[in-house]
Amino acid sequence: MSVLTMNNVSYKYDGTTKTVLKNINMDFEKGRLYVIVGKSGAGKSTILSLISGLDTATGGSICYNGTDMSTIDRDEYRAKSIGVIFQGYNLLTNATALENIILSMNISGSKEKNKRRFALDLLARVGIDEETAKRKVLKLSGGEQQRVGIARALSHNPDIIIADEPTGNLDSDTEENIMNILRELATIYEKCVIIVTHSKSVAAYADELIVLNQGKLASLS
Amino acid sequence: MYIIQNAIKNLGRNKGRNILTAMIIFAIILATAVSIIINTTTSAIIEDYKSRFGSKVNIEFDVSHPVQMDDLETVTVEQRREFAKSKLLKSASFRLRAYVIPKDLHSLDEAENGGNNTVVGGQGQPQFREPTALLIGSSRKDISDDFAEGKRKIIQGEMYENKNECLISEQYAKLNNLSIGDNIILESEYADEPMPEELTIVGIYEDKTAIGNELPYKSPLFNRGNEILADFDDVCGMDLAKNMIKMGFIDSEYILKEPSMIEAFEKEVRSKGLSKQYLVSTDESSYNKIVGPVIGLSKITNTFLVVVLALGSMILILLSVLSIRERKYEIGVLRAMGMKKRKVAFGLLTESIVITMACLVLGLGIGSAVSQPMADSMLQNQIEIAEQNQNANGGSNGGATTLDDIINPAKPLSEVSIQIDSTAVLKISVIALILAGVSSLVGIMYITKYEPIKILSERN
Ligand SMILES: Nc1ncnc2c1ncn2[C@@H]1O[C@H](COP(=O)(O)OP(=O)(O)O)[C@@H](O)[C@H]1O
Ligand SMILES: [Mg+2]
Repeated sequence: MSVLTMNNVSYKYDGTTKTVLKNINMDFEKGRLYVIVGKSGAGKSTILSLISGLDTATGGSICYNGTDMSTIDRDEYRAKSIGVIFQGYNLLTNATALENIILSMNISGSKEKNKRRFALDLLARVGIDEETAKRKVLKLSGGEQQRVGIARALSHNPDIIIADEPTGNLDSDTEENIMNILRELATIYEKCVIIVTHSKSVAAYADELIVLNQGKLASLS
Repeated sequence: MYIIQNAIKNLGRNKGRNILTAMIIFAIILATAVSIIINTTTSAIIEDYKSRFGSKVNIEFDVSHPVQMDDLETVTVEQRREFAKSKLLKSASFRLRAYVIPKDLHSLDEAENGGNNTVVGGQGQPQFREPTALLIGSSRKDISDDFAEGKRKIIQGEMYENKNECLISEQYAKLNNLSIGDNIILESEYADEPMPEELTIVGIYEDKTAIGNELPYKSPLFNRGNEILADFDDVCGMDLAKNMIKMGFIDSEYILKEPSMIEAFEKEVRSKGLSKQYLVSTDESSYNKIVGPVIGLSKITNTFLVVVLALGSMILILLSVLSIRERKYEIGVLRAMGMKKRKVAFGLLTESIVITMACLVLGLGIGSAVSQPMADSMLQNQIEIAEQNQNANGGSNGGATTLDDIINPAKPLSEVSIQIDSTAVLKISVIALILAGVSSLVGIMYITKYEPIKILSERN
C-alpha cells in the first residue's frame, strides 16, 4: 500500500492567479526513492510543502496511510511522520548543530535514552564531527548547514523523508555520501524518500524519476 | 520540560535583544517597586490617622468667643443622650466625674492633708469639704480605654451590673481592709448637705497606670487609686452628682461611622439644641495638617506609577515589534519542526517570565533599599509646599479655636518609616507578570495568526 497518495491535487498561491499545480495524481511507496526534476519555478518546492503538511492543497486531497491529511493533526505529522530537508535549511541559527538535532528529537517525543549520543552519531554519519556539532549553526558553512538539516530530518526516524535540493551546496564527494545514506534509508530502512533536484547525478539514484512540467507530473520510469 | 530548557538556553542565544529587554523591564519594576512600597506605607498611615482623627467628634466650648459666666449655657445630660441617638454614629459614650467623700474611710495620699475634715467657704455660702475620692460613672461596657488596653483589670469579683454597685482599686481595698460584698457610704463635698449614697463593692481592680505617684505634690484627687467606678446612669441618678452635672463634669465621646458625616452630625445636634457657644468638629484640621504632606506623597507616587507603567509597556511593545523579524524566523522553524502553537507560545512566555523574575528579585531588593531615602526627600518637599500654602493662607482655621488647638498644636508628620509588606510584594509581582505577558504579546499574536509556511516563505 502506498504511504502517500495525491488525488487530483491543485494549488494556487493566495492572491495570485497562476495555478502552480494542476490535478496531480501520484502514489508514493515505502522502500522507494523518488526524484522529482523540473525547471526552476516549476512548483517543486510547492509540492514538497504540501506533502510535508506545511501548507494545504487548494484542490484535491493528499492521504497519509489512507487518511486525508486535512483531517489529521498536521503538527504531529510533521513532528513524527515526516522529515524535511529544506532548500533554505531552516535551522535555529543561534543554536548549535547539536541543539537543533536534540530539539527536533524532543519535539517528536523521541524515547531515545541518550539523545545527545544519538544526535552526535547521526551528525557524524552525515560528516559533522563533534567539534563542529557544538558550534552555532550561524558559524557553519552552507554545506555543513545542509548536512545538519539532513541529520535533523532523520533524527526522529520518520516514515517519509523529503528533500529540497539536498545536495545543492555540497561537493561531489559529500554529495555521494549523502545520496548513499538516502539510498540506504529507502532500501534498508524501508523509508519513502522523495527528492527534488535539478542535478543529473542525483537523478541517477532514483527508483522512480518524475518530471514536473507546467503543473503536471509525469513518471519517466 | 524541554520547552523550558530551550527557552532558558534561548535567552543566552539572543543576548543583545534580551539584555535590552531586561534593562527596560528592570527599570519599570524598580520604579514600580519604589512607588508601590511608598504608597502602601503612606496609605496605611493615612488610614490610621483618618480613623483616629476623622471619626471622633469633639463638642467643645469656643474659647475664641468667651462669654460671661452667667450667660454660659451647659450641654445637659438629656441633650447628650439625644445626640448619642444619631444614626450617623458608630458609638457614643459618657463619663461623669463626681467628687465625693467616702465616710469613715482613708484615701491614698491623704496623709499630708490630715484627714477629710477640712472645711472651706465663708459665712452664708455653702460650706465645702475637701473631696477625698472620685466617683466615676461610665457608660462603656468595657469601662474605659485603660481597661480595654489592659492597663487596668478586674482581679477580684466582677463588673458592676445593678444599681449602687461599684469597683474599687486594689490599693484602696487594702488600705481600708475592704473586700467584695462590703458596703461603703459616699457623701458630697457640701458639709451641710452630705446626700449619702450607699454602694456595694462587687469587684476590685488592679491599676498599672500609676499616674500621680510621680507628682511632687501629693493629693488624694491626683491618686488614681482613689477612683471608685460605677455605671453612668446609676451615678447620674444620685443626688450627690447633681451639681457636677450642672457644672458640666461630663465627658462625651461620639464616634462617627464615616469622617465625612461631620457636617450632617453638626446639623443634627444643632437642631437638637446645641448652643452656638460650642464648636462641633472632628480633628480634621489637625488631621489635614499632619497627614497632608503624606497624602501629597501618596498622590505623586500614584501618578508616577501610572506614567511608568504606561510608558514602559509602550516601550516593551515597541521593542518586541522591532525584534519580530528574528522572532518570526524562530517561530517558523519551530512550527515547521512540528511544535504546537501553544508550546511555542509557552516557550516565548517562559523566556519573558525568566527575564522578569530576575528583574523582580533585583528590583525588589534595590527598590526596598532606595524607597526610604526617596520617601524622605519627597516628603520634605511636600512639607515645604504645605508650609508655603499655610503662610499664603495666613493659617486658615475659620477663626475658631479650641483650647486643644492652643495646648496641642498639630505638627505635620515629618517621617514615614517605609514598610514592605506582603501586599506590596504581591502587587509588584503581579505587575511583573503582566509585564512578562506584555513583552511576549507580539510574538504570541504572531504565532496564533500565521501558518509556518507563510512565516518561512516570507524570509526565504
Ligand atoms: N509564497 C509565494 N507566493 C506567491 N507565489 C509563489 C510563492 N512561492 C512560490 N511562488 C511561485 O510559485 C511557483 C512555483 O514555485 P516553487 O515551488 O518555489 O518552484 P521551484 O521550487 O520548482 O523552483 C513560482 O512561479 C513561484 O514564483
Ligand atoms: Mg525550490
